[in-house]
Amino acid sequence: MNNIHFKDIFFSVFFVAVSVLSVGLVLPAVNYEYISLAAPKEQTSELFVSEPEIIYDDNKYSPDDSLGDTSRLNNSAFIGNSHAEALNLYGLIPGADYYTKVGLSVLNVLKPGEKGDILINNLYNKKYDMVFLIFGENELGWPYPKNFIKEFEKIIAETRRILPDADIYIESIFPVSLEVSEKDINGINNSNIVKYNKLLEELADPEKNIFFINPAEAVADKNGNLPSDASTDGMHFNYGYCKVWVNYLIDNVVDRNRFAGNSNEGALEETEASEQETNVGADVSGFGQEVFAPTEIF
Amino acid sequence: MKNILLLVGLSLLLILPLQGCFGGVVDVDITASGGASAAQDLSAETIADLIYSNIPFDDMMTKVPPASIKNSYGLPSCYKSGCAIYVSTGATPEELAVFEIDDVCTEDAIIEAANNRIEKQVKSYSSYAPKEVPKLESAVIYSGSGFVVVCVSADNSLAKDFIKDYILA
Repeated sequence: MNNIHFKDIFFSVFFVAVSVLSVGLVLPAVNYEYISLAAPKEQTSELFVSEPEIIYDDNKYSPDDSLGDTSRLNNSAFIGNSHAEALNLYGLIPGADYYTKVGLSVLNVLKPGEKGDILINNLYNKKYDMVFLIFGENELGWPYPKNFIKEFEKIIAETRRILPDADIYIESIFPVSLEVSEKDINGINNSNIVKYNKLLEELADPEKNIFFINPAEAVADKNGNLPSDASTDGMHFNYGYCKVWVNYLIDNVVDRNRFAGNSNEGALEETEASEQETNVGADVSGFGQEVFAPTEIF
Repeated sequence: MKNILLLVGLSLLLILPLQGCFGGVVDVDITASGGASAAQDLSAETIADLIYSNIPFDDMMTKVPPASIKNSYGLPSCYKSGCAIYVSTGATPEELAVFEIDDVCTEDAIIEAANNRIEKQVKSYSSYAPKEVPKLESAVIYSGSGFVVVCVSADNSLAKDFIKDYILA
């Protein structure tokens, strides 16, 4: 050790430093952390929501709010696209029924599906007090918006025919994030959404209990965009923003008690039963996913 | 020369222990949950939480009330038996559901419902978001130790191995 020179020490330290730095460069290649089972990631029953970039100073609703009393939305039916399907999966309105599907458009509601069922016929299942119609996101790219409106009118008319006394709600199309809006793919931008919502609003006829309801205003930020913390893809809401939506509905649906004391005629009876769109089908198609029983493994 | 080699060796002794800090190795305490006897101590919710903690998902996942499981799988009685479910925003078909098997909520019924659910999702996402379909095509439906796990995640291969080797072994 007495023969160690400064040069030797310097190169050794240099070698150590280079080695440590080299290991540090490997870290970004690790895509996700491996966690010991003994110390699982902290769990909450609700979605983790990052701090919003814009503070809703003048917005009445927040994703951190508690869910309101959803009993006001009992005995309701939701017909619509993936937004409505999220409501279904989150189970935020236990007293509602959902006839919803990812990718559903106004073209699929009145025509037979793959199994021959017609989605709107699910409204024969009960004498619903309210029907919420949620469409538009999948039709923003249509060359002629008037065709979307025409199909929507047909849905309203058929809903009214099946349920003469229900309140029918035409829901506004939700905004998308600034990033999605700027990409402007298939007509999906917030300027176009505003135009479509104006057309939807014109379909309302409160005297006939057909209402336009605008939950879009509850979720939008001050610039009319969907906040960045609302979703992963700039379109589909997380749990917190679905709560905002539901709380808005609770506060803004028309009071059904206005019918108290009136005799309501029964809904038209269907002659053919139809399968609920959201219920699991009875066919066992054997999709082919492997099922591993313990005996196969050990 | 001997001194240089000595210094190099000392340097290596400093570096090598640091490898353990930088991942690439699954640090698993098998005694925490491995083995059939450990699975008996687990509930559907605990299993779901463990899987969620250790498997990657691209989407925002939310654990919803067990009663909500009938909205996606049917099986109206199963939520009374014991189940847990994490759902996504709908942007992806990712999902995690764990069912406890009993006389009412049978293994066959659950697996049938799961297959139907996956099939339905494939049809929906084939036109809506085709790039998500591979996740469904490699979905994990695993039955063991009194539970059925249905998992559609960002890495189903990892999920399958994790469930098989560490959860319901």
